[in-house]
Amino acid sequence: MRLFFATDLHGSNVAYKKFLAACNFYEADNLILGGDVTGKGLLPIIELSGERWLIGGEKNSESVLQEAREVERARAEAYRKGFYVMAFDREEWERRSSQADMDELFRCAVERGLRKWREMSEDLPDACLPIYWCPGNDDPLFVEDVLAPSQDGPIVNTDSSVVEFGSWWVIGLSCSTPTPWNTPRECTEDVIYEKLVGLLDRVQKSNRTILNVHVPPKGVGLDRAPALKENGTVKLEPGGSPETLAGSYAVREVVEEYQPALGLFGHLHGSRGFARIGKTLCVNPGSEVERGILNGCVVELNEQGVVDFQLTSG
Amino acid sequence: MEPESPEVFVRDASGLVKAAGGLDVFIYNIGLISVGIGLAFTHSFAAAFYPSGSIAWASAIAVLLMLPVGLAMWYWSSSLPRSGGVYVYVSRTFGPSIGFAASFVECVSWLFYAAVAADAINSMALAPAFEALQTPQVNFLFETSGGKFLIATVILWLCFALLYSGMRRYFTVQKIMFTLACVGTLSLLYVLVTTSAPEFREAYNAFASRAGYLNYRETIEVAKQSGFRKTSATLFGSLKTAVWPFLPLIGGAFSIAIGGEVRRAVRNQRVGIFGSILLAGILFILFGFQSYDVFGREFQGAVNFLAAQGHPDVSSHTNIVLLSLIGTKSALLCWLITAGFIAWMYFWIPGVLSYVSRAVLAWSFDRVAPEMFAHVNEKFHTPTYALLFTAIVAQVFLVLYLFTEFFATLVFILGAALAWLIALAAGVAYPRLCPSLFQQSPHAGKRMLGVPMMTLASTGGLVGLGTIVVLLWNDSVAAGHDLPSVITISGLFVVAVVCYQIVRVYRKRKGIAIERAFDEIPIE
Repeated sequence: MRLFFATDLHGSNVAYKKFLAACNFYEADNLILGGDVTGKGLLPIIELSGERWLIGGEKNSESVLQEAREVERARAEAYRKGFYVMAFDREEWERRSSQADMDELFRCAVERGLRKWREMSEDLPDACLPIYWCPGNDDPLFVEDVLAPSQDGPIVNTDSSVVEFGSWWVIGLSCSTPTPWNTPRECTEDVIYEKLVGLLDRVQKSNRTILNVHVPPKGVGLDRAPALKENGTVKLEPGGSPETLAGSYAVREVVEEYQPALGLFGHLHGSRGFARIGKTLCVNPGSEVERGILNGCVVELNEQGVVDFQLTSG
Repeated sequence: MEPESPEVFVRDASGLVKAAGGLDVFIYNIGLISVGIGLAFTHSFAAAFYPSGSIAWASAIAVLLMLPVGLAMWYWSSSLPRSGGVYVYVSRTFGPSIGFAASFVECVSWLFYAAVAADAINSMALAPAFEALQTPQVNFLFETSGGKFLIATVILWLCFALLYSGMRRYFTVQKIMFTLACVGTLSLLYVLVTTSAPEFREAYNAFASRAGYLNYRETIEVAKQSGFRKTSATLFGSLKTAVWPFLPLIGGAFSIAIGGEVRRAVRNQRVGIFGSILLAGILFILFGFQSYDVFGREFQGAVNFLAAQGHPDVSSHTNIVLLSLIGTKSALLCWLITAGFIAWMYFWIPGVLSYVSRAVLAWSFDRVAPEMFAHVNEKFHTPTYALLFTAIVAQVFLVLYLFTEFFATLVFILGAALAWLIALAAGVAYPRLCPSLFQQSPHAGKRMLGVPMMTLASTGGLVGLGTIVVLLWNDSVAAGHDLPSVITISGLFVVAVVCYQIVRVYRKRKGIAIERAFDEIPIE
């Protein structure tokens, strides 16, 4: 069996289309999608008088567009980078200015975007379906109801579940260890351990198990993140940039103990790579969706386990 | 009244980390230019063997040739802001086979220069310092091949140990060394500015008298008798000389290796790349003029010429370090200058070991190199075997460099230059071969006469670096094209391509097509 895994798509329509196309492109039998499917933000476009548009940007930046094609270009770039675009007329924009308004608008945009993803998934050949998906720490709690409202649809939610496909099981876990950003799904190490152990105890053969866990195991090379200064910027010093480790001890402990066949992780976009914990192959393909690139991993499995694998960058 | 431009509403999502700015990139690059290595080698070899070249003008020419290379790399790093440099750019454009070959040759070349730098700390900084202070009891360490090998080996493995022990310790040391490097450079400049030509002549004659060497005038006479010819500096002569200051300036574009960590890459890579090249270039030019004013152009050439010939009546450690230390009466300045040079030369070693080990790690992640190279040390979280591999290769090069005549000093720069030429050629072709990716670049709309600016800039880079390659090819002092050198460089490419094909066939049998790793997935 050949499967394709990608993660941290962050609302990028280009990335999701590539993910769906990957089934044929890499001749995969199954698709597994990691967490953090929610986009990063909302780009407002305000229509002014006289065929001009004011587009959201950084503070004090020039942002008046005078041609419709410029607007389309900006819209396309935003979609590629994982931003949701919303159009307003001037009066409507001036009415919606509070944080609560923006939160509500963002939720609407997320729901609309993920519904579109679900619809696109329904067009996949049956051989590629269902897609086994687990949310990530950045995904608000309502996303499951939009992207995978039932286990009969094109996308199956594996979060905190044991899902069987063929002679294999997929176990998912969405929460990460605490981050500086107070994201929707964060757990302590103890909670992560208890959840994973509880799930793995339900599987008869852990060596036929695939983990689709958002946060990677700590300290095996898949959880490198740039060290931050107090103001949130990355430290960079003569000769290189210091790193910190942002993975989970609990995940590592569970993998060491239960030795599943395969661990598929994400969360740290820049920590692309693989490692072996005992016999378990652990992979984090990383993420570059803001540049229109879909990072993934093709894994070839047989009755004995993982035969071979390849990190991809398409 | 127009409403204010709305800001993008950005969630507090993890991963939205503001990355390094322009100053950070500048500091990173200037550390890898290694002003000390540039000064030491240029003022030794260029002065001795390029009598029609002006060091100052050669440095200016090197900057002019490096700027288009920097421009092309700026386009790359801001179009494809991913860490990995040459390997990423070429793999994406021409395919992973050529990408691996270019990266392999580049990495082997840099490791050679890590070995050269390890020896340079000894032969071009420590040894001149002890000689200037006239401490004969330790001179034996720097005179014998065994002593040189011992010191350079210790330096190399200390750098390995530093990297192996974790990045935090490495960066702490980097900060100290960068401070030392800056202080040393300023001290050197102070000495050259405050020492007159007559004062230097007097100091040199006193030094020579104590050490039993030829005095100032005698040095020039003996050098002439040995074949040294002073001529007026010409533009073409300075062009040929430019190969020496060019090597360190390449470090000004090394931020391509950390492209994924740089925020607002268009602006900040521009600041980092051009800022470091221009500052280092200005320093090279300044020291070029000052050294002529203080040491005298003819004397500087003559004494380095005789030293390179191994003449017994001049110091074998003659270089700008020794000459400037002789020119100062201050022991404090002496040690500050020496420490500065050591710091500059030091930067290159762990910087290269780290750069190459990251490349080896990337090859392993892409299933081209053995899986063991992806192993990360449990205690220090560093790539154990990748680092060890780079250190071993550098050690082997150290042996070959010190004990054989096989490798001329700059022969491997030819290999690295060819690898970069491939990356620059990829830059020319990228807009056409990867149109959908290029369209997402901030430079997509920039064209001149219908040609993408990235293509034009990369073409300029090809001309700049290509000029250096042609000069190196025809320069038997710096590199040349004797048969062993040609076999070495071309052999590296062939070995890399063959290795890749072997791995490709092996993986294919397991059902994995590694050649598709960088193919873009088509969507409607």
